[in-house]
Amino acid sequence: MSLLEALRLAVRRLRTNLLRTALTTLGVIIGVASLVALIGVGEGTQTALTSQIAGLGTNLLTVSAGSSFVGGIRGAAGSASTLTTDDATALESTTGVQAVAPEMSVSNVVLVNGRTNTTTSMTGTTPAEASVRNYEVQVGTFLTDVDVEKGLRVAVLGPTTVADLNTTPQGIVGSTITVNGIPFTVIGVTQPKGGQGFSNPDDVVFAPITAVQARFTGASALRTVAISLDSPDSLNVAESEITATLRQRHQLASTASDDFTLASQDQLLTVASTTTATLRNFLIGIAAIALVVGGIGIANTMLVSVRERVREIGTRKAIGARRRDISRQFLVEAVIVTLGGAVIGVLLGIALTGPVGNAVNVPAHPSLVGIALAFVSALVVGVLAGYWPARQAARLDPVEALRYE
Amino acid sequence: MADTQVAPQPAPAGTPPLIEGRGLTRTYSMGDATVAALRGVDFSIALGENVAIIGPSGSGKSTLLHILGLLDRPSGGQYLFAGVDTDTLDDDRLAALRNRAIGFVFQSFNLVSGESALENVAAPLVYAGVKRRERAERATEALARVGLADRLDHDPSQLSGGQRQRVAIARAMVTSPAVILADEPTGNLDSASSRDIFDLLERLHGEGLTLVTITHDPRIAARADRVLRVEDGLLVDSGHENELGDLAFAPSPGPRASATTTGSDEPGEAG
Repeated sequence: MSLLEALRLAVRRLRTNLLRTALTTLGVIIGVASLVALIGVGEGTQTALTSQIAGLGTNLLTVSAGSSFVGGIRGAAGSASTLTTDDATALESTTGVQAVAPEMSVSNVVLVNGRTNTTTSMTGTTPAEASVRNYEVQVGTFLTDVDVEKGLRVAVLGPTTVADLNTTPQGIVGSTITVNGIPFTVIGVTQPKGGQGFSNPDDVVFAPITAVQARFTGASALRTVAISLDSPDSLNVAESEITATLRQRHQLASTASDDFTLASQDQLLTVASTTTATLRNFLIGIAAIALVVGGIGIANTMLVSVRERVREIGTRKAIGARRRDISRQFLVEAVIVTLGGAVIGVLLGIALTGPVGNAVNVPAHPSLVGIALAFVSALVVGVLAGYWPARQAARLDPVEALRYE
Repeated sequence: MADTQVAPQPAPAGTPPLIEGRGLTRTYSMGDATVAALRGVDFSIALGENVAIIGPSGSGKSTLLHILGLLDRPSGGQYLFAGVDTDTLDDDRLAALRNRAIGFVFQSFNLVSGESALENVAAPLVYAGVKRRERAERATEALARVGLADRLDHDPSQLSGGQRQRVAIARAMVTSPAVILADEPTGNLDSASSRDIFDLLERLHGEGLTLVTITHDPRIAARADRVLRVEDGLLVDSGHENELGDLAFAPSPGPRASATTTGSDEPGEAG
């Protein structure tokens, strides 16, 4: 029997048991649709996170005040006050470095604007911050050199902070707010970067580093120095130059370890993509389970179908069907059900990817890889699920089969 | 077709019989016990004969028919189909022989429901690798021969018992087999339909078909050329006209019988 004949026979058979066929197919549809949708969401998460990290600053390197050693015990990062504004100035002339922004942050400051208030963190920095960390201003201006020089009490707010203060960018620029009771004049509001979560780049207050040191921290020690590079290619050179410069300035012996930590955006990206890959694999795993359950449904239906059609199988053998004709007939049936389910499942998955992404706040798109993967796995599941029932049918003894009631 | 290997072996005295059993036994093991359904049966049936096999239930006649129809293999002895020892044929060859040289008619019709009469009749041709168009033509022709030209698209469930059995007969003939094996073909039919079916089978026999029928009905047995009586797994009596062994002279000279006397035609190819 040719494949075409087996197809005709299978389609005819599946049509006569329409409800059963539909229910069996539903198992595959659910499996494939969830595979497509969840892979889409997984990849969407990855893309979103990657672009979010890229949005934090291009070619960004951060130097953090490093761990100090007291009596051989390594302290937490930032426990040593080793990084100074002078260090930051010195790094400006390092090879491969484009701009340097010293950063002094104060967490949990209370902002009051009239009758509303919000809690956020404040970063004391220089005008270089805007270019290093990719900030643009939508209303007003960013910090200027004069602001830093004179230690003026001016502030640039992130759009989320503005919203938290129940006002608009246009409404707040020019007015005076208080930060922990100290009055600051708002001179600008940044463009939204579209981040969210633990460290939201839109929920910020920038002020001249001089003002922050004078009014809040009181010390000249920095938490971090943000550095942008000429190009991504200069990363390695810049890293070693920066390390050498800082070690020299901190007068570290060649055997001593660094008293600062250098982190590139690259490393952050790697960590992020590893994390999201784990998440994605987890989602794929869940969807794969759904597909396997669908496959078990097919195998079950096929076994029932073989049992129901024992006499038919006996008759077919009597009129000349060989074992492979019988097994092909059943295998083709299983594969048609899975392929049909896969097609509908892929369409459904494509339709569902967006809404599912919205539900978890991820811009998700159906991915080609996901669709291909879902299709191939459905086919594999179908062949596996059909194989055993088909083999059972083919091995039936014709005499027994004809006698079967 | 060439691979079915049904070419007659050289026989000392003219054409070998179509079907020949030599000391056929068939035993089944049921747990510890073995049951002998056939205990040594010798017979032969020539092309063009109309033979009835009778015997009480449990006598072994169904087992005999299954062996004749190549659905089962004997436990001992030799079964030759068109002169070929069937023991030498593998399952696929047996399937091909069943497909082309044998037509089955069952007591319970065994039509596939959900498929039309035409599709049921055409089913053997699917396994024979016949093209779709030719299948439809030949199946239509076969249905016309059994008087069901107007029922091509009916599902078996829409047909009466007698009509279903006619569809089954059309299916058995559609490949132009050498022999039709009918297992109680009228067992599920009322007497009017039974007479119909027997008239039909007799007519087909008259057109040259070899017919082997298992039956309980003595009236039907009486219409056969020859009767094989099976009891307790043995042939106890044979023929009301012919003696076993005289078969070379027995066949009614149908067109098929005369065709084989040339010695070149294969029963499987007949038609």
